[in-house]
Amino acid sequence: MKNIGQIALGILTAIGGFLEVGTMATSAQAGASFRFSLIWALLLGAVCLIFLIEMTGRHAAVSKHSLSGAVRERFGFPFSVVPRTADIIVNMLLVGAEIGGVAFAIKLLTGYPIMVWAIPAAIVMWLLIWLSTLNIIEYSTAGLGMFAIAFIVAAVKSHPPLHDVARGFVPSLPRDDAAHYWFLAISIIGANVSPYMFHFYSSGAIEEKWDEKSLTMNRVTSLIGMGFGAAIALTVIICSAMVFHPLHIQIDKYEQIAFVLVPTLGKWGIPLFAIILGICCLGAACEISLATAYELAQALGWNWGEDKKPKQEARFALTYTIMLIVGTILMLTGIDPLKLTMLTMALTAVVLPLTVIPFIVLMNDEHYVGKHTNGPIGNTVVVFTIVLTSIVAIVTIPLEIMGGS
Amino acid sequence: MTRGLRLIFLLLLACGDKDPGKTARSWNATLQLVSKHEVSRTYVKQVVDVAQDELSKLPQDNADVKAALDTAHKMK
Repeated sequence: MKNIGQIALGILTAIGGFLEVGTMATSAQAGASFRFSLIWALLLGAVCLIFLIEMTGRHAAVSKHSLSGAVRERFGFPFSVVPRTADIIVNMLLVGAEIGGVAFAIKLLTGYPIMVWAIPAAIVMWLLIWLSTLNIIEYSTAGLGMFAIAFIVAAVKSHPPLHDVARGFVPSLPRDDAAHYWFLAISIIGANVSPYMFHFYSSGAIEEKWDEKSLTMNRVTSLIGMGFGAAIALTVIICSAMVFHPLHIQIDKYEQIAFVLVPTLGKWGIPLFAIILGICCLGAACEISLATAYELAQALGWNWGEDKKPKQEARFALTYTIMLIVGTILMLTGIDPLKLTMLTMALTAVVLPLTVIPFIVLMNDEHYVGKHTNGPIGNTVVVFTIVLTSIVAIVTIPLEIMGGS
Repeated sequence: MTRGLRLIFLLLLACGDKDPGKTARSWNATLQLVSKHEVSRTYVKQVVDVAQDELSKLPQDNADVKAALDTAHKMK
């Protein structure tokens, strides 16, 4: 019974972690521009993420090492400087995008500009991290994130042609606008597979003292949780495809995405969208800030742990505080949150190999994972992810700079 | 190799070259879609403001831009 409860809570966590501003933006753009044709990219990203999250949990449960700590121990401190620095820079941008998501959600309801809400949103996030425990953060934001089920209801009510939806699961070549099609395809994958999730999941597993008995729960959480998260992202594509695509509306601003639930859920569509976006971004911003603090503390050998009092791990607490301050400053510059999100998705994809390549070595090292080393399927999926990410890195950044999004 | 680089360059050009008419028609469709549904006045104002801001960046002599700005003006 306890395990069932743990699995249920793990699934909630996964849902909260999966759906955030990047997934929302890329899925909505994909549906509006290419109807169901890019569902395969979401599927591919979700499969990669399921494998990587399962490996992360397995590594933490068996080796009792955090990802960042194990890389430092195995490869030495100098080696870990580059990936950690890259992760921290990208995470700062991501936190900015998530704070922008929360501020935009409040703007939708009140009409006051994003810049007014950026500071209050960041203060709420900081208080949530400072005053509560890891479990409270996970379960409160993830539980409230269940509002996202509204997308499933809206997708069903919009009566999508199931045959066309099914065809979207198979990769296809676009009839026109090929550059935009491939840009969105790789952005969707980049939005789904983020290194901060591995650090957060790994550190959370150690804080919750997982051991080899937790491996089944880890598999179920990875598979069903991330699968269900992907299903909700799929319904964002479907809703967007049904609402925007027939009218040839291209998504340039969050204000357009906010309308996606209205045709099926009526006047409650806007408030519901605002609540979903606000909660998902709030949870994601907390997760990213904490993940960065975990990563830095483990790489530098500081005290760390969200369940400890801040005075016991002052540098850890200072790190997530700085992350939130930098993210807030980014939003106060007046940068467009959607543009920041799309740029960050591309940069996330660039730094992914820096985390994943050392991770492959660790997952095949019996010193760390004993008999639970990766099988050929796991290794293949990870290698495939790296190759895919390299393509993302090469193609996405120039496209973004040239104004692709 | 040269062919590959040329393909990437063409992709960049294709992506960077936004059609103002297409963007304007997209905003016009957005505004008309919003006007057909019962949503809060706060939201309508936000969409109209954003649409006008985006349309102001496009060539003002374009017929589609003029049409979209006209729709935005009527909704204000």
